[in-house]
Amino acid sequence: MAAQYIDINKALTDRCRNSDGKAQQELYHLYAKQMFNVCMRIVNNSADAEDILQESFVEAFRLIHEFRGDSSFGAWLKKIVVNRSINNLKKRRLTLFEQVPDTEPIYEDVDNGNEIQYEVQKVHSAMLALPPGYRLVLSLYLLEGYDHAEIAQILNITESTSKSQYNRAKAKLREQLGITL
Amino acid sequence: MRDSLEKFVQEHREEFDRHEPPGGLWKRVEKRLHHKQRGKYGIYYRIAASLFIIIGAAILVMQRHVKKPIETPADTIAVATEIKEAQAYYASVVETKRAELKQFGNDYPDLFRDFNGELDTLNVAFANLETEYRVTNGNEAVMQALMQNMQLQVELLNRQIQIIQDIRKHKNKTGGNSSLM
Repeated sequence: MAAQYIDINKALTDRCRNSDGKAQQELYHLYAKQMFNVCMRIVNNSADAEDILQESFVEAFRLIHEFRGDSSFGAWLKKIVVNRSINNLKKRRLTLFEQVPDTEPIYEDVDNGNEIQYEVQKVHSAMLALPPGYRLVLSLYLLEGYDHAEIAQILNITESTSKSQYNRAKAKLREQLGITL
Repeated sequence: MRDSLEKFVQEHREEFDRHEPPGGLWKRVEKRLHHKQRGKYGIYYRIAASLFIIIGAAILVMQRHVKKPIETPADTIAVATEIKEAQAYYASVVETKRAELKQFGNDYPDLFRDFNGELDTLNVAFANLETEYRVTNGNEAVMQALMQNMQLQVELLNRQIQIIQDIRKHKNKTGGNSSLM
């Protein structure tokens, strides 16, 4: 299954290298929704997310020759989308992090272990209501599947900052969901 | 160990992509991809486009030339401070120029959007270089590439402002309503 998936995309990306409009359109429709949601989770503003999505695809298709196929096209595209989304936050001059040196203990978030009935819609809205710096790390880790080392690299922060921020974000999320310890 | 919240999100991952990208977005991407080749703004646009390609090429060359990690130099911290200062300087110049450019944004929304796209590409390259700089423990070639990137941003903005001023002049001379082609 996985191999087949990669093959399908390889044929498409190869055609995109020759500026094949049909192939570009197909790749767009394969990834637009996923990437739009990546954007939305980071910038939480649909007008900005639309612009970022548009520019990311334009960039990806223009720089397709730089895509070497050592990751999936989706992962490569996601990197572009994430970087542009973070740039958008930076432009708004938001303070995203308090840096935590790697020597300091990491803030721990505790799960009380009770069986809780979560609901996607509620968790989703609570996520969007988080402060941008929390929302950013939480979605990169929990939904986009980056690990803390990768997040540290993407955001140019220490791994400890990433972990701390993630745990704080999770605690805040629980708080907003009305789950008390 | 995954807690209940993390487990829940993992199990319902797909459902968290709740937003649909706007229907007409592919058309916008397509137009942008096409647009570049045609040159709606005639000669000025072509100057901007070729400038952008030259800058892009310069970044690529710089990145290729970056050597892989060398031993951590003793004065990394001093260099890091130096970079920060230079970066702050360029960031303020870029900010001023962007504000200047923004005044024209309403008159030439398409052009303005393209200009921003070009600048964003440099910004993304900058973010990647910054990561590289950290990963290589302050490689000097990367630092130079960083500086070059900032200078290119300023240069690009200067050219963009120049192009808009030329277009305005041209428009005034020909009585406002004539085409730019």
